[in-house]
This record gives sequence, C-alpha cells and structure tokens, in this order.
Amino acid sequence: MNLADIEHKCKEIDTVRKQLETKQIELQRLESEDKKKTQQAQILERLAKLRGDKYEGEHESEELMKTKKDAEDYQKRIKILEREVFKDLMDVTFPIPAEVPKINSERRSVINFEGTPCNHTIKFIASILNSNVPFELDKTELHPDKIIVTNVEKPMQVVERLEALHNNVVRLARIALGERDPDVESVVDYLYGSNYREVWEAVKGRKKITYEDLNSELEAKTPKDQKKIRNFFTNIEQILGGKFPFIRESPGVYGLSFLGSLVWKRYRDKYPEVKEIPKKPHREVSVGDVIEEEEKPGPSTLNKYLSNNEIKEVIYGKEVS
Amino acid sequence: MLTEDQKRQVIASVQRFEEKVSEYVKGKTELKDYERKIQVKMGELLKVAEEERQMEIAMEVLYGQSKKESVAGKIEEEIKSLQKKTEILRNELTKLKTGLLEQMRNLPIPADLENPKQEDSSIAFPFFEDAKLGKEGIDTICDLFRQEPPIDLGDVIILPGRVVVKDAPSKQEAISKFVQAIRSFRMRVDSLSKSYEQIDEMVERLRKSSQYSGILKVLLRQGTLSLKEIARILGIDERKAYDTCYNLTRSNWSPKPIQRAHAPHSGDWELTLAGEILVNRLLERYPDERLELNSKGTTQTELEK
Repeated sequence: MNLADIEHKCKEIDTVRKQLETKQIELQRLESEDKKKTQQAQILERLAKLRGDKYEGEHESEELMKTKKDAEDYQKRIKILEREVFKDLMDVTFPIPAEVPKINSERRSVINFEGTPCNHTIKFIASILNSNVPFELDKTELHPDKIIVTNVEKPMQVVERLEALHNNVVRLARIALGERDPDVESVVDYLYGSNYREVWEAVKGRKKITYEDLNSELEAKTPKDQKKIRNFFTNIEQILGGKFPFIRESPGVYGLSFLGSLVWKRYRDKYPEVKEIPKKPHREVSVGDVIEEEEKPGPSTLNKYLSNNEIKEVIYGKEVS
Repeated sequence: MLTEDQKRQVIASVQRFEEKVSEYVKGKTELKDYERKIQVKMGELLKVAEEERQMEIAMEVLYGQSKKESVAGKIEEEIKSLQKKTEILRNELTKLKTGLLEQMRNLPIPADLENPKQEDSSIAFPFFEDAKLGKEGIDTICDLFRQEPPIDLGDVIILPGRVVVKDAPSKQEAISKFVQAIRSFRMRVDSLSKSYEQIDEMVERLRKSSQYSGILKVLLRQGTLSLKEIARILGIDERKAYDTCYNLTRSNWSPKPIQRAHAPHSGDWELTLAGEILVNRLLERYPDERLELNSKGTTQTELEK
C-alpha cells in the first residue's frame, strides 16, 4: 500500500474530525441551554407533585439528544477509519524515485516523493505521537512531499535510514493497533538476559546518555568497569545490528532511538523496577558441614503428609510415576 | 519407593538431559570464541582501515596511482563471515535452550529417597548410582535460571551428586521440603519457557483476594517484613494479616508463595521463589495491579508522559 493510496482515508479522518469539532461546540451550547431548562423542569416537576399532578415536560431536548448521537457517530467513524489506516500502514511503501540518493555538502539527502503530496497522511502519522508536520524520527524528517535525511555521508547510509524510518512507521501502526512489535520484544528479552543488563537499566530511558553519565550512575571507577560500559554499546551494536536501540551522536555520546524508547517502555512494563528482595547470605553446604542451629519456623504448614505417588510425580517427573 | 524399572527410566532420562547439556555447553563455548574473534578482528579493522586510507590519499596525491587490493576489505569479509556463523550458532543455541527447558519440565531429580544421610540439622539424599546429573548439568540449569551454582531452592540445594535439605529434623520433613522445592523449580522452568498454564491458575487464585495479592506485592517491594509492617502497609489489622499469611502457607498452596523468614527469632515473612514468580506474572498479566507498586519509585519515560 503506497503512502499516497492512504491519503483519501486520512483526508476523510481530517474532515470527520472537523465535523466532530463543530458538533462538540454545538453540543456545549445546547448542554448549557439544557441545564437551565432542566432546573426549570425540576422546579415544575416538584410543584406538580405537590399539586398531585404528573409532570409531562421533557428533561432533555430532542435537539440535544440528536447532537449527542451525531457526535458519537463521528467518533465511531474516526475510530473505524483510523484502524483501517493503521492496517494500511502495516504494509506501506514510500513513493520514492528508483535512483541512488544524492547527498549535498551539508550532509543532507532530500528524497522527493513521486506524484502528489501526502499532506493528510503525514499529518495523521505525526498526530500519533502528538507531533507537527514535518515529522522527525531519529534525525529523518518526513514531509508531505519528501523525506530529508540528515547527517549522512554515503548513499547506503541514506538507504539504511529510509529503512529505519519505514520500520518505525510500521512499528507505530502496529503499536497503535495494540499489537506487540517483534523487534521490540526480541531486544527487550536480549537485554534482560544479557551480561549488560545492569548497564542498560542504568540508561533509565534518558534521551541522551554519555559514558560519564553511566560511569557515575554505576559508580564505575576502575578501568575494567568503565570498559564494560563502553563495550555495552559496541558489543550490542554488533549483536543487534539494525535493532540497535541507540543513535551514536558523537564519540561517547548516544541517544535513545525511537525503537530504543519503545524498548525501554516495554522493558519497564515487562520487568518493573522494584526493590530487590535481600538475598539470604549464601552458605556452601557440603557433607559433614555443621549447620548452625536456626530457630525453626513455626508449625505453619499442613502439607507434611504426602502420598508416595505425589512425591514420585513431583521429584521423578510424570513419565516415571 | 521406585521399582528397578522406574529407576532405569530415571537414569536414562537424566542421561538424555546430560547429552543435550553437553551439546549446549559446546555451542556456548564456540559462540564465545566467535564473539571474541569478532572483537579482535574489529580492532584490527579499525587500525588497518585508517592506515590504508592515509596510504591511499598519499598514493593518489603523490603519484596518481589507484589503490591496491584492500586488506581492510578482506578483514571486513572475514568479520561478515564470522557474524554469519555467530548468528547461525545463536539460533541453534536458542533451539537447544528451548529443548533443554522442555526436558527440565519433567526432568527427574535422581535422588535416592530411601537412603537419606543425616548431616547435623540437614538431610542429604545422594543420587542413584549411574545417574550422572553432574556439575555441567547443574551449572547449565543455573545458567538458564540466571543464578550462580549450585541450584539454590531456599532450604533445598541441588549439588552435583546429591540434594541437601537444610533444617530438616526428620526424613518426612525433608521429603516434604524437597517436594515443595521441586514444585518451585518446575514453576521456574515453566516461567522461563513461557508455559504459564499452571502459574496462571495460581495467579487467578491470588486475585480472588486483594489481601493475597496485596501481601505478595508488598513483600516483593519491601523484601522481608514483620506482620505489623504488612498490616500497616495494607491497612488491615494484624490478626487479619496473620490469617492471610498463614493461609498462603497451607497445603492447598503448593508450592507456597511465602514463608517465615529464616533470621533467628524473627517473626518476619518473605516471598519464596514460587512467590516471586507468581507476583511477577501477576504484574505482567494485570498491569493495573502495578499501579500501587509504581506509586513509589519508578520513573516515567518520555513516551509515557
């Protein structure tokens, strides 16, 4: 699905949003009028009760009810359209020319879209992250009629950045649809299981991080500890390749990429920051060791009496029992 | 307790596990070796590339000569090839790890329950002869559990060749503790292999009472706590806190999620390994349960703002 093909749906979203805004202003006016009428109706209703009559008046005007329903319908329509656009974005393609990108003297590459500009689509994508147009992700700008890649030297770098932008757009759509992103999941699991977990956690989701920040955060004073911090970046870049969650801004300074921000958020969701349970001092146990007498826990269990089958099933596994 | 035939099954099953462990350990060593080689090559590349660039500029400027065959290019090729091999090996290791976890879900612990040996206040159950759950196997299990060897399950420690149950005045008490510990062990395996059926069943039971989940969450956050502190934090009276803690250690909770802390003269409570797994799963499945936990401490990320 080409970016331009989604344009009409995004345009409709814009139109319906405007209609909804108008309706909501009208709704505010009607509700304020209705409030006054309701107070009057309540007075009349109570008076009617005192007189022994039945109050026949209305509590809510028909116009108000209709406007409320219209506003709800617009909201529903927006949700349906948004969902359709998110699904389309999952396999979006960019209308870019089939030629090797050029890089100017300011290390920028401007890739113009073929065909008409995608004003509404880009505005919609930007709105997902409450951003304005042009929309910037990891130093790549997405304009209605072009993509601008900054800070590049070689055409291949431009291509890599375009690929990263594409992946990020798909990722955004996937997350907006409530789905998990497999790259985010794999990076989260890798970082949690890696030897660098401590260093990664010390990043604490900061947008910009330096070696010095991490050295002080982790109290890394020895060259060995400081090397581990440097290795964290170089090694995980090697290992994760395109899924590296940082952007190298200058030597020793890294920024969390868009993927990195998602990884951090998911990491903290999956592995919440909680105070660690203080570990009991570990004791080596070997035959003949004298174990200190400890106060026995009180007789708080009722599970001392287990059947032989139960014991066999647990200790030797189901196959044996 | 076991017939000869069953004993043979146990031994065979442990042997199969050990074979897979050997394969896994071999793969891990190989992977480390490749990673080390890549590091060395990367260092070499940086040095050579810089030298070559200088030389190239010099040759072009001075003599108008084009560059010769690039050494850096060759090293890059070597690195690429090593990275490819590393990727393949990593995939193989992931498969092996999955296989090992699958085996561990039903791995017999080859302890001879008929021949316990009293060691002061501990009881040790030696492994059956020929049941080779040795150091490599134990170390690998610990590696998968991300902990240091031996396999420490609270009062029960699985060592190469035997299981030691601490603080066990009788064989019956030792077996009871052993069973509890192995249930926790299997729960840990289930959690690692993301097989949550049994864990989720217990999580749902926990959620039936806000006090059950409350106590587990409080212990996760604070570590060991006295009844008085638990009651204060949860805003319930001490008697109620005691009853809830007591209920969580009854036989219908197996493995038990909490236990009395081991410090001498302590009336404190702490989470067991099973309790840790359960409460973490509870928080993963029901993020709203985390609200209370997050109210102290955690930071908001840019995206969350």
